[in-house]
Order: sequence, then C-alpha cells, then structure tokens
Amino acid sequence: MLSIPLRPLASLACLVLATAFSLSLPSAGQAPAASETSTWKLDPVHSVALFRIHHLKSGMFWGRVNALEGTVTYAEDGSSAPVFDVTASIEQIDTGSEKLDGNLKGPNFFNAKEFPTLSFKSTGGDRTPDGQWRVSGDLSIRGQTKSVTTLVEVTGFGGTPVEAHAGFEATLTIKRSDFGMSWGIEKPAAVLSDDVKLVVSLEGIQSRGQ
Amino acid sequence: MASDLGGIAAYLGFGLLLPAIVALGLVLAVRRSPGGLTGTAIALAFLLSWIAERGTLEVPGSERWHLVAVAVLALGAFTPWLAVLEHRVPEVLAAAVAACCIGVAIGRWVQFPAWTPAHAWAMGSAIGVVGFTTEWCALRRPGAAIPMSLAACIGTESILLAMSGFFSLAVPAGAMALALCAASVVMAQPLHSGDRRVVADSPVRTLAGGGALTAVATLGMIAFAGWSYDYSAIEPWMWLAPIAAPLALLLAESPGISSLGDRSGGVRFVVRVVPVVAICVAALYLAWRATSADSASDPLADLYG
Repeated sequence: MLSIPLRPLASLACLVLATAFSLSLPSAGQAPAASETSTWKLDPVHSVALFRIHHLKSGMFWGRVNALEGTVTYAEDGSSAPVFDVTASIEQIDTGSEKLDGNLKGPNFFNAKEFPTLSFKSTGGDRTPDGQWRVSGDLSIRGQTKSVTTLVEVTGFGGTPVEAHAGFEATLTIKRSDFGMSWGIEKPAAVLSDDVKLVVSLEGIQSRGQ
Repeated sequence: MASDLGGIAAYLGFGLLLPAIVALGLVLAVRRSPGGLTGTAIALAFLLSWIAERGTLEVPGSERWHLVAVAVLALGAFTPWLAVLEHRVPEVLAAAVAACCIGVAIGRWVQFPAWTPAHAWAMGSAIGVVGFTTEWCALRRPGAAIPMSLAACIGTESILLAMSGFFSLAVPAGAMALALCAASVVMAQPLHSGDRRVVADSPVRTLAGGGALTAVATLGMIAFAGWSYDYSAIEPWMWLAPIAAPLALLLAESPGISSLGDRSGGVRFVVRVVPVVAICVAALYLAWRATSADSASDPLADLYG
C-alpha cells in the first residue's frame, strides 16, 4: 500500500494559498489603481496647518493648527486639479504656549467664541510649469471670505495594506488684515506682521475597497 | 528699538492719555453745568479711545463685543437727559427708573457668545442694581469718593482685560477709568463763585444725573465681555467682583458713618473708597497669581505676544 505523507502536503497547500492571498492584496506603498478622481478623507492626525508671522520685526514665529478635517478630491493621474474642502477648529491652535494660544483664540485675533472654525474651499486650479498645482479658492476666517491662490504640491501616494494614503502640501501668504485681524499691525505698531505665511500639509485616506 | 519706543509712546498717547485729557477738559468745562454731563465726558473718553485703538467705531459692529461701544455711545447721549429728568421728578425715582431701563435694555441687546437668557438676566440685573445703588449714593453725597471708586473698578477690569489678551477693550476701559480719575480730582475741589464758597453739596460736584449709571453700565458690560471671551486662567468671580464692588459704598451710608459731620469728610471718603478698592485689589492679585503661573516659561505671553 502506497503511503502518502499528509503533513508536507498540507504545508505546501497552506504556502500556495498564502502566496495567492498576498498577491491579491496591494502591497504597502502601492496606490489604488484609479485614474479617475477619487475622494480622500483627511486624516486629522497627519493634517496640519503651520503659520509663520514676523514678531516685533525680529524673529519669525511659527505656530500650528492641528487636526484639519475635510476632503481632497483628486485624480491620481493628474488629469485635473485637486479639489479641497478643508475645515479647521480654532480650538486646535497650538503655539507651545497655553497663554499665547488663549490670546490667539481671543477677540483680538481669531475670536473663536464667535467664529469657531476657518475653512478653505477650492474653486479651480491649473498646472504650473514645474508640475505643481496653482489652486484658487475661498478662504474663510473670522466670518470673512476672501479669494486666495495657493501653490499645491502632490507629495505622494502610499498607505498600508488596508488603506491608501495621499499627501498634499499647500503654501500661500495672506494678509491677516483682510480677515479683520489687525491688532498689532499699526496699533500698537509692528508687534506682528500683516503678512502670514501658511504651509498646509494634508494627508488623505481611503480604504482599499473604494 | 527707538521706533518701538516711539510706537509705544504713540500708542499710550493716542490710546490712553489723549482721551483722558479731552475728558478732563470736558469735565472742567461742565463744572458749572449739571453734573450729569460727566457721564457724557466719560463715555466720550471711552469712545475716543476705542476709535484711536481700532481706527473706527463699528455701528452696529460685526462682532458681538462691538455692541459695548454702541451701548456706551447711547449712554453718553442719554445721560444728560437723565440729569434733566432728575430735576423734574424726585431724584431717587428718576434714578430707579433709569437704572431699571438701562439694565433691561443692555440685558436685552448686548449679549455675548454662547449666552443663555440667564447670562443676560445676570448682566442686566447687576447693572440695574449696582447702577441704582451708585446713583443713589452719588445723589446723597457729592464728592470724589464715587468717581474714584468707579475708576478703581473700571481700571481693574481694564487690567484684567489686558491680562487676558483682550487689548482692544482694555484700552477704552482704561481711558474711561482715567477720565473718572480726572472727574474725581475736579469733584474733590470745593467750588467758589467769586469770593463766596458754593455749598459743598452742589450738584456740579456729583456723578449723579447719569454719570454713575453710565460708568456702572460700562463696567458691567466690560466685566461680562471679559468673562465671556476669556481663555486665560482668570476665574469668573474675578471678572465679576469689580461690578459688585460698588455695593460696598453702602457701608458709608450706615447710620454711624452717614451722621458724621462735614469735618469727618476724610473718614467718610476712606470708608467709601477703601472697601471698593480692597475688593478690586484682591481680584487683581488673585488673577495675577492665576495667570502668572506659567509666565516664567512663557516669555511670549506678554503685551507683544
């Protein structure tokens, strides 16, 4: 009677199945195969806005607004400009100083009690010669909405076996007086600059099933 | 550095001193007029300083705290009419009706973010009760004690506002406090008409006739505004103590003190002013302790922060 060793056969079968299963999953760092536009939900942990302001005409002071929320719609093949719908809570201002955070949330600056959020909604965009995007949109701060243009770099695509991630970085400079935030520009003089540079880093997520 | 100092000097000059000087001039100008015009003078000090600080007077304003300036504008316009009213009907009745109307109007129209009806009632009631008490005391006893006490209360709120970073309201409040100081200097002087000394309780030496009501109504609004917009470690009672402090003026109206003769004016002044100032100093000291807890490691968190 022919004796067949079952144990090695079972191990081989398991190996084949595992290989087939792993090949069926996209690997980490592999983007979803989608050439059409897809919507990425912002990951609040990895989406942040940094602001830079000239303090007392001397140092450049940096602060941040954490936990941005919203969506980015973008075609991975770059056939159309990314569409942003981003909201930030003023409560998420973080300068490293609790007292300074309070000042910024107060009526002299963001007036968070009356205007608890700021938002950006893009309205269009076009390619720049160096492959970035020039995106226009409406920026709302303190209840005042102004049209702004920002330079956007698509920083990459990646992810985990279960989620795809996409990164974007936007840079722009605004005048805070356009949004009714004039304290310290002229009265008192030159405490803080009118120009504020913003660097907004966004990381969007979508599940691999999408 | 020199330009920074120049900026500070201009800021203090245009934001604080100029309105106070203008107010002092007005107070001097109206010495021979009904004392209620002092209310207009201190309201003007507040409004001039507001305009110097913000460059404009927003009516009705795009933010709720702008309503404070609108209300002060209305009070400044209203207060001379109260002086007229107090000459037509019994003074105490006129003061009671005016305090009630001002309390209700401010509680109804000047409301800050996230307020419930209870907040509005609290502010309106505080202004009504404290306003009437102060006006009544001013009617009973002219002199420097009441403007000095109210200057201490409003000055305390101004410092608290600055400590909390609310400079745009701190500066006009400081200007009104300085204007009240100027008024108290004028009211401390005995009046003379030629060689004849005018009676010590002449109505031109009192903040009654609307001045006290204007000051208390402004005090109430800035106290509640400071509390409502605050992100600092200042406790609510520290914000609200200065609005209650003028009630301590009633101590001087107790039978033992109020029956003191004219020669005891100094004692009466001390009994009136010291309890009010003590409450303000206590609130300021505790607020300073609360907010300076992390100052040593927080060099940015100052006026220029």
